[in-house]
Amino acid sequence: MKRAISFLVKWIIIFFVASVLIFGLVRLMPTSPVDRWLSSYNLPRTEENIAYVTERMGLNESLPVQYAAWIGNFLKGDWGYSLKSHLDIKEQFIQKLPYSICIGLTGILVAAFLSFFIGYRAALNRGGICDRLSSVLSIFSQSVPSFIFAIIIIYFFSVKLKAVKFFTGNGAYALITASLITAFYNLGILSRVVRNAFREEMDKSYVRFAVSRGFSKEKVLFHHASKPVICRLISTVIADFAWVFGGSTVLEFAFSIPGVSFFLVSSMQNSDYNVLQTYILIVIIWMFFVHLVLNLVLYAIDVRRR
Amino acid sequence: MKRKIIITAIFALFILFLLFAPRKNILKTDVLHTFEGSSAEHWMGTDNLGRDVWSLLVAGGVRTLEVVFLSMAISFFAGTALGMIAAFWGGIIRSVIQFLADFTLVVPSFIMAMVFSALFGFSPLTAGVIFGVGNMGEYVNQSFDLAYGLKKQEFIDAEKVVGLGKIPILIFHVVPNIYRQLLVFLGNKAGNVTVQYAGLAFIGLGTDITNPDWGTLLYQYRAYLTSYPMLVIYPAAAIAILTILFHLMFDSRSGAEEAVTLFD
Repeated sequence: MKRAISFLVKWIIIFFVASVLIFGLVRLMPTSPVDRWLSSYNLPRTEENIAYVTERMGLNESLPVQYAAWIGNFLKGDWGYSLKSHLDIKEQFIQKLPYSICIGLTGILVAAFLSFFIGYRAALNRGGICDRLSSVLSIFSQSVPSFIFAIIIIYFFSVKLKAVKFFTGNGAYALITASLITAFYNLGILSRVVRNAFREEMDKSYVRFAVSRGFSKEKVLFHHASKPVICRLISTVIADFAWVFGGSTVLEFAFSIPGVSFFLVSSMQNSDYNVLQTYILIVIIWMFFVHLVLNLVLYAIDVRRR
Repeated sequence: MKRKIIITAIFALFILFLLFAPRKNILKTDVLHTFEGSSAEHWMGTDNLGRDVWSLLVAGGVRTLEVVFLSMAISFFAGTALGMIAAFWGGIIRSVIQFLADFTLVVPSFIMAMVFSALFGFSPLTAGVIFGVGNMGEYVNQSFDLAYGLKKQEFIDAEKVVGLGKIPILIFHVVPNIYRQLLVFLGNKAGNVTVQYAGLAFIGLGTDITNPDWGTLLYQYRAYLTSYPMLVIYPAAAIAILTILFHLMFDSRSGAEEAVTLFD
């Protein structure tokens, strides 16, 4: 109970610190969105125009008032309007979030599932095929940026073989391929984590005891040693979920998938304050839910944590 | 041991090479000589604007190294120092530092780097600082755990009894005991920063074409993959070589024997 409260308090503080930080940073920006807006419509920068647009964007209030209004509305569910297009930000995000979450979530879940088995085989057969495969994959994924891999895939499958159309149609192929690339990139490192965790368990007395009694090695490892390994895997995956937004940006960009990160990149080019601020808060809320759910899962599996 | 020396030598040569290799003016375009193959004048040929690819790569490499060294210095030194301070001082200082560490772990550094480069312009300086601060959290946690374990050891108690201050104890007795474990991290993180920086440049927020990065080059040349594949292969290979060297350089486990269990 006490831990639940301190968890919540920590996240509430993180949320507010992040919101103040991003609010302040955005105001430090060298070019103001008012100027951008005027120049994008080829309007002269007269006093009247500036005053009118500033008022319309709600930028004429003092900073604390602006902050209070913004955060209050955000918490009430009114995320404001994009300064550039005047579309409702909430609708935009709700439209685009499924793409990003689909890429990240399927990518990480598929990778976590497969990595458990690859890591298991790699731990059993040291120096075997799975062991080599997992270390090659992990070196590959850390030394070749995912966008190069994406470009090469686009080149082979759609330019050379003409098998898949990534940029026309409903974009399902692009989405699936981006998810698979995400999975592929997480697979190597996660399977190394699983492998090393299994190797650690192998040396523990309960495993040695069970093996000495004559149980088969595969079974002992799979049935008895898997729980601590799964706990280790989950705590590694928690950190990877930040990747859902960070890492998928490059892939969304390479496949031009209309996800939130792609939206962020295009809003940044117009210095759209509101979208930027909302985006960071959404990342924080997403991470809050990831931590909440996965910590509950860990709590349920791992008796030692109670 | 021999392997270690060879890797270190290759690593040092590669870095020195990037820093001091001869390069031509990367701003000079030559529309009459575009997409040329390798020649004595242009070692890696020329690109779509007739610029010398070799010089572009070297210039991008220098910028990448700036980012990597800046961010590693920040996350390694500041992270280790903050972690040790949290472990030895405790109380409110510890809570604040651990909160900051959690904070940097929650907010993805890539996103922060994107936001910052949109706000303040894209340069190795901003990217280096953001990646450095973003990766700091893990160093803080790691060095906190290591230093906290040491704090309970007898030799530290003895030094306290003798009357040594906390700062000399940290610098002369804690740091030598923990830095090895922290260095293993470093290669991994340096590789990741190289790749992330390339990704950031690939997205190209506010990049200008006169300051080439490996990511920017890949973005510009991706359209020529069909006709001139070498233009994409060179920067991709440069990224791969640098990251693999980082991994090999700081990976101290590679030579160590793993414990043999009943299963082998």
